Amino acid sequence: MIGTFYRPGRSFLHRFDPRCKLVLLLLFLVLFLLSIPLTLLGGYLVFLALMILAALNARELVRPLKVIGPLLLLVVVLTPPFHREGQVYLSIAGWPLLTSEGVLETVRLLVRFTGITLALFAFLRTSSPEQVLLTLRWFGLPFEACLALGIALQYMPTLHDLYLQVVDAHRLRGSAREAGAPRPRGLLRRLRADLLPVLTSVLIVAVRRITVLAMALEVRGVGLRIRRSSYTRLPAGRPLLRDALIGAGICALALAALFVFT
Amino acid sequence: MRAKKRARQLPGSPALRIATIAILTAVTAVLTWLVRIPVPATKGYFNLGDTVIYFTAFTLGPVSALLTGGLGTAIADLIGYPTFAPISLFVHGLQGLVAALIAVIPLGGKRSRGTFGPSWIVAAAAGTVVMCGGYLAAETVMVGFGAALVELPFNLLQNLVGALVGISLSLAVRKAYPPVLELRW
Repeated sequence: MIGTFYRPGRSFLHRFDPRCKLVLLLLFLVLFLLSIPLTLLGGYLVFLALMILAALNARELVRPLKVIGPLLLLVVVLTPPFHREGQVYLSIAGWPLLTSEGVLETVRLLVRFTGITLALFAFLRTSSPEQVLLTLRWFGLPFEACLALGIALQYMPTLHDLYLQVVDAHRLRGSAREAGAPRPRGLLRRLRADLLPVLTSVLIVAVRRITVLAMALEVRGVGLRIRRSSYTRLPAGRPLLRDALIGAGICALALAALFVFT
Repeated sequence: MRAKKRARQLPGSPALRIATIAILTAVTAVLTWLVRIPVPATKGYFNLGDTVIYFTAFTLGPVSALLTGGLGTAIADLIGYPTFAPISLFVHGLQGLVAALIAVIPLGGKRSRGTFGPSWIVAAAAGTVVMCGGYLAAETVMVGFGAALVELPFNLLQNLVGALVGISLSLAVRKAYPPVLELRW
């Protein structure tokens, strides 16, 4: 499988039922997008951070923050000029650059973006792609859609290798330019000379694989209107009940805090 | 005699449709995330996700473009920047759908239907508006209007290049491998 965020482990987040994790993820995504008091948003963010710290470690908590760091910096720099209401803290030539509203809105956006990132990271880091697909199927996504997604994830490394092979093959054939010929100038000309032949070859090979893959799927009975069985299943019984109760408790607490503080 | 309603047949078998979506989703994800073209003038990179979306829209039809555009870019974002995955799923899917639907309108006369003509250019423009507008709206909510505005010129440039290369790819692949049109969905 292609390198996703997932890393195997035995933490409580890894062992938590992926269906409950998905429901909590959706809940937190919605909560972070609502216009609710900043203290409440901050509380949700702290909860997520503590959960990742307890389940994984500080290095794992910093990992997604390092990825979004440059974007957070952009938010800090570019948000205040667009919110000029409230008490002025800094102005240049009478033009308010930093105001109280600007600071609040900047903090709100930082908390929102970081919270959404941590929620998605906690889910993807502790749920394997197989678990994610089984969860989606459990929630009603058709088998054919899950199959297409699973095949796509498995084909990605193959297609990446194919792309590199095609690039090397074109380079060996010198299709872009003959020895000694000048390199085309301009981005569009270089794209046309270097990239177009490579992409055409890659797409033709990929499209040819579609019919072969379709035949392989038909031979295995895909598309027949039969009752399907499943080799792997998500856990049921007591573990699911335990995780569902914990998930319901977290949902209840989050929603109770929402109603109390708004 | 009661008139029998003819059941609408979807093109190809279910296995062929699954294979089409799976392979094209993988191609979109790979060319969005793993293949990056450096832009020396800006010291940045642009990706080929929009190129593949326009290729799919003009060659393989609206449903393929909707599903592979949304899923492929969302998977690529899940590998790198998961925060943008839900946005990519909807915006790029809609971009592919809109471009594919407009591309089949015979704006240049009946003979231009399904081939390169004014409709493809209008389709690419519409796809660009959907993609840039969608990202601007969604990122305004996520990171504020200022930061969202910074990305707008890059999105426009990426769409322009994506449309040009996507149209060229569609014409080249149709010429080199005509059976590709049988996979339209």
